[in-house]
Parts: sequence; C-alpha cells; structure tokens
Amino acid sequence: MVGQDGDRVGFVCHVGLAVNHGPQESHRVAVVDMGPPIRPDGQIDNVSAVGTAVLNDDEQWKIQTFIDKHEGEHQSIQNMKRNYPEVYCVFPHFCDYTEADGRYVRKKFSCAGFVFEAYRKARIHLLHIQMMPTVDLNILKAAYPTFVSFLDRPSERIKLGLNGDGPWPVMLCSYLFHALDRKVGQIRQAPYAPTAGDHIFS
Amino acid sequence: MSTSQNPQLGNKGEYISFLRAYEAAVAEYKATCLKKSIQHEGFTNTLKKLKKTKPPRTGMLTVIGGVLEESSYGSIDAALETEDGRVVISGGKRTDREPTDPQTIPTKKLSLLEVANDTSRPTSEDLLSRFTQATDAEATPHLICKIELAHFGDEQRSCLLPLLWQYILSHRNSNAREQLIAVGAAIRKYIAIMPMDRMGDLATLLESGHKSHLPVELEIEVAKMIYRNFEVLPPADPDPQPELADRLWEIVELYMNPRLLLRDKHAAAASSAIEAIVAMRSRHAQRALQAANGCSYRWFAELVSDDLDELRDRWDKKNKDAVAWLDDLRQTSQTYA
Repeated sequence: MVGQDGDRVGFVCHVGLAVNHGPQESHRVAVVDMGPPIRPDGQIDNVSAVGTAVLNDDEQWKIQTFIDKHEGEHQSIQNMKRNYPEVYCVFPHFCDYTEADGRYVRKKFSCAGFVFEAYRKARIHLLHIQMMPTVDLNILKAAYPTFVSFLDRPSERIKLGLNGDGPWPVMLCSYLFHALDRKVGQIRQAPYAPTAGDHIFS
Repeated sequence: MSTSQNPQLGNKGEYISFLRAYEAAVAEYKATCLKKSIQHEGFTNTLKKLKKTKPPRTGMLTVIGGVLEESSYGSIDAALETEDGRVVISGGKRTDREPTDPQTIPTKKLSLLEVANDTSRPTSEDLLSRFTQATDAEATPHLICKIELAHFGDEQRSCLLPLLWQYILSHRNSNAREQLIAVGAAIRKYIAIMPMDRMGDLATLLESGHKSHLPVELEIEVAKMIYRNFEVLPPADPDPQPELADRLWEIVELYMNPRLLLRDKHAAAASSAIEAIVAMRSRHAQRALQAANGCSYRWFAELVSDDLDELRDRWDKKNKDAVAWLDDLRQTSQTYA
C-alpha cells in the first residue's frame, strides 16, 4: 500500500495498492487505486507513505479477484470526471449505486475504502469500522484538497454521503498506514482502532 | 365556450378580453409615437433609433389554469392554459425543494438533485431521446455509458430495455475495447432495471453455441449482475430460471479447471457464476458450492465462502426462508471456513 500526502506533510490524502512489491522509485509507483474511478493502471507520484502486511500468494489472489470483479464497472466512467457522485463516496467508505428498487450497477468507494475492502477480501481487517473517530469539515477539506469547493456546499456534501455539518466518522487514508505500522502478526490478529489525531501519519 | 356554460371561465374570459384590449391599445400607442417621431426627427433618424432598441422580451406567458403532475422519478409534466393558448411541458424539474438525508433518499431523488445543480448534464429524457433516434453509428459508447449512470422512470424503462438489448446483441462481438466497455455498461444497466421474471432471457447472452462466446470480462458482468439482482430481491421460490442457471453452470464447469482458474479474470468469472447460481437458489447450487469447496486453491473456496456470508447478511433482512435454505445448502455442501 502506498500513499501520497496532500498539502500538509503527514496528512495522507490518497492511497493505492502497489502493483509490484519490493523496492521502487518513490517518484512514481504503479498502483491500482480509486482515482476515482478505479484505475487498474494508476500511478502515485511522490509517494509519502508505505505500508505492508506482507501478503502471501493466496491473499494476493483474493485481492486480484476483488479488483477483477469491480474494475469493469468503473471503466465506463473513466472519461466522465464530472460524474464523481456515481462512483465515489466519502461516508460510508463504500456503498451501492442503486436503482429505485435497490438493485445496483456498481459499488462506490472512497480511495481508502477501496484499499480497505481489498484487504478485507483477503481476510485482513485493517480497521475497526465501528470505532472510527469523527472528523470535522476542516479536516475533510485537508483530506480532499481538490474537493474543497464541493465540500463547502451542503448540497454537494450530501452526494458524497456527508449529511449535515458534521463531524463524521470518515475513514481517512492515514488510518490505514497506522494499521499497517504494527508487527505483521498484530495486523492480522486485531483491527486497528484509530483515534483522534490519526489523520496524520508521520 | 360561453360563461353561461361554464361559470368558472367567466372571470378568465373577461381577463383574456382585457389582455387583448390592452395589447390593441399598446399597439395603437406605438403607432402614434412612430408617426410623431417621423414628423419631428425624420424617417432616417427614426429608423436608426428603432434599430438601437433591444428586441422585445419574449417567453413570458401568463398561466390561466391547468394541471401539473409529478412522476415517481421526480420529473414534472404539465398541461397549462395561457393567454397565448395551450402549453404542454414534459420532463420539467422542480427547483424549490431542499434535499434531505442522503442515506435515506432513494437514488431517483438524488439524481434529481444532481440534475438541478448541474444543468449541463443531460436529463434521462434527453438520453433516452438520443438513444431512441440514434442510428447504429450514433449510439456511441459514450452515450451508453451516460445511460448507465442515469435513472429512468417506469415508462422510460419500457422504452429503454429493448434498445439496450439490441445494442448488446449487436456489439457483443466487437473487437474494439471502447465498444466492449459500453456493452458492459449496457449489460449492467439492462439487468439492473429489467423485470425479474424476464431474467431467463439472459441465457441468450451466455449460450456457448454462439459464433463467438462472450469475452470473460462480459461474462463477469452478466454473472455478477445476476447475483446482485437476486441478492437484493431473493427468489421466493427455488430455481426461478433453470435455463439461465444451466448456462452459468457451464461457465463454472469450464473455468474451475485448475489450468484455467488462474488465468486472467477467470477466477472472478467462476466465483461470480457460482455465487449467481446460489443466489438463484438453483438446483445446481449444491454442486456449484461443492466445486468451490473442492477447488485445488484454498483461497478460492474461502473467497466464495466469504461472499456467501455477505449474501446471507443481505437476505437475513429480507427473506428468512431464503436464509434457511442457504444455511442448509452450506451445511450439506460442507462449506470451507
């Protein structure tokens, strides 16, 4: 897993699954990430954070199958940047894009949510979902620097799942790196419960 | 119609008469002003002044009466009587409502908000109209992908479904990547809005005797969407679409071969087909699950088992009989945990 800081050092704003493991040049790393949309051939420039659970072959196969299942339903939106509410959500970290009767064509993710769900499919539960600390709008704006103008408008926040004025228990990218910043055995034994302040990883 | 025949029109009739008299008086006044201007300033100067004036404002009509109806998907249809005659509006949108909790808003209302906030996006009516009128060349992949994102009402869906089906059948054998992506979008949309009792039609897509069978990427989309439909709307009775389940079983039999399972996307196709068979409560469900449990690759069995745990959670809120059936199935198939 590799991450990229936003405007503030230590505040990881984007995360993706590294395509290759092992040492790489940090200025550009090939990833599968939730751009949005899901990008099987994405890249993260100037990587600021790295985390690993030392995945075995079986876990990698599970994650690859997860990607293969969802990749196609995001391909159709690759060139439609304005349709972000149809592919992306901030809270919860993933949800269905439904028709009127609840049937759905796609699962939406946040970038952190996509990585979290990929690991969950590999039976690695990185975070305690029910114990996510709440964050206010200022922290969210720092987490989503390119979405600041949208986050200022309640009508746009709603499209991302953020009802009202907050605070909200949003899954932030840094939490994932805190989760992986433990011994390998500990990562698989128990999910990490983020606390206030964990939006910074340094 | 005279006022004696319809008393309700009495005031309206007088109002129309007043408007006509007012317009006549304004026209006479303008003609008088024009004559005086020509007298005092000459014809050429008067003409120059007329050319500098802004064109008269148009588009404002006074509504006398009529009916307005809001459809189930949020658009407005209206038939209005104005002083200029009858006006019919179709597919209008309200802009006087505030949004409420997004996690309780049905998606059809959320899409209304999106349209209200971004007037440059085509409406579902626009998209359907373009698709209906498009020739084969004009039904571009981009249009299909936009249709996948839009939400359509009941009447619109009945127009859209045959168009999507025709598009899928016409382009399923395309070699162009962009075209195949659009076919995937068409498949997902078609299955997500089709009547559940017509799911059996999808067997046509998975027939192995076709001139070239569906690419594995599209097999994933078909199997996945079949699973999702029955995940959300669990079948009340077992095996509602036996022929469709037969086609899915053929995929399982083919891709569960250890030589093929690890090839590109084959595991995703196989697991999706197995899960769809189970979600359909098909007669193939037991052997599909046994195929997963008996797979050489333990990770595959675990993956399917975990997905069926999620299916159970969804069904638990909707249909206890289906849950009981699933529990029994997994027990008899010796589910790998």
